[in-house]
Amino acid sequence: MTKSVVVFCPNQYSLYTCSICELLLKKGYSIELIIVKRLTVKRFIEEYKRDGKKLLTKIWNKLIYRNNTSKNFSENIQSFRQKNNLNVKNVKGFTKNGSKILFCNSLNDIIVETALSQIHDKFVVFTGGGIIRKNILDVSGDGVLNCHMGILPKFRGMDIPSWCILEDKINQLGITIHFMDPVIDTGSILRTIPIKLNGVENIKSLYDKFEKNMVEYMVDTIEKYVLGYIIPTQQSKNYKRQYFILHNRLVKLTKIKLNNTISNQQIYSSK
Amino acid sequence: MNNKLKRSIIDNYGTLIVSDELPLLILLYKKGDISIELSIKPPNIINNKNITIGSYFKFGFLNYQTISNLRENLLKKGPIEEIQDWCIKIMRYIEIRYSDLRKNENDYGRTKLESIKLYNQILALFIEYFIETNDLIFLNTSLKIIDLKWVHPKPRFQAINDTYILFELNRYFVNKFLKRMEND
Repeated sequence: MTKSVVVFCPNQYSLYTCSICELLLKKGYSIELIIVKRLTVKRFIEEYKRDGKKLLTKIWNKLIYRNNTSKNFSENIQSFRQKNNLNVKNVKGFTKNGSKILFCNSLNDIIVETALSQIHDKFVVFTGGGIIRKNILDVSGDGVLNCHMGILPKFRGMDIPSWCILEDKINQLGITIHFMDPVIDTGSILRTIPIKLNGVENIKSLYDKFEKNMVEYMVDTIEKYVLGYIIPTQQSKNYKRQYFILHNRLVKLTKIKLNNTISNQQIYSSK
Repeated sequence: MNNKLKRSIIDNYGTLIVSDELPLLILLYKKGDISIELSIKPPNIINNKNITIGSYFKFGFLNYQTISNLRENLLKKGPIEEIQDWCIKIMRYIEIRYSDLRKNENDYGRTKLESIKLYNQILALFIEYFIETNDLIFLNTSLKIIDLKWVHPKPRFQAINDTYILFELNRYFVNKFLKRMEND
């Protein structure tokens, strides 16, 4: 394993980041650098402007009440961590494995650019922290790997699992691992993985299932990519549509549709 | 539909058909059901001006007539690729800069009235595009535009009376579509 791994992290407490890093370490990779976006008031204001009240729920779920996963639902990041014996809950815990930690206000800062340009033959794993600009992409070695919550190129943008439910496209639920480029979700694709609705009981558990699968397949894909089993392929440029955050009234409609789909599936399977 | 809106449309029917802010009544015609509620005979002649679409350049250069032309083209030609490109570009601008839209309007030098007229035309365009294509991403952005209080036209300004009716009608349509989807 010659390539160095750098990880972009949305905050030091991210379980998604910690799980990916710990799994990579268990598989024998060394993580050279973890770049963490600081939690600041300015950042809160910017993200609140973008996400509104959703941000408060996100903070509650991800930072305060960190065990908040759907009851009776085993396909979530917590159960995945237990099963794989993953214990680190703060990226600072990886310093004892030799990883350096760099805090920044934005992942596009000049300090990030400088730090990246000092590491040779590397690739970056993106686990959150906002849009990455060209200056950073240019010094990211092989590129910045991202796991997108939808099948690309058809489903670009945000809130994709909910959009799939809303547009009656449950058979197109899935994730895509791809390299980032300056335009959102248009970089070369390494792998797409369909996600089934089986076992999902509500929107929350659907997203939990996605998160668990994202960790699992991100690490698996990194391994296959480094070994040369997967070669990135360019995306088709024919898809111009992009999805954005759902309005509350459409969120309600999505919940109704998901409940109907689940109960229809239960009726169908009981027959 | 509330009585106030019904009254406004019936009272202003003559001017609404010829208003440059509206192919409003053509929309009524396309969605036949609303004309029944209003007991009016919808017009079946679309303005025959042959307006070229041109290419999208920058949001700051748009005005309500540009969007009104697009709407006429949409009604005449259907959701052709050129119109789709425009709609997607405008939608991307609104979604990405949603929290700064009002500030940006000042920066572009548009007056309050011009901004209200422009955004109400965009709202109508998105709803009409949704009617033509059933593409929910446009309904989603329409809901977000309706949430912007500064976009709501005030009925007391005679100068924006058409815009007021257009806005109320758009809001009525959005609610109607959502209710229909909830019942489905």
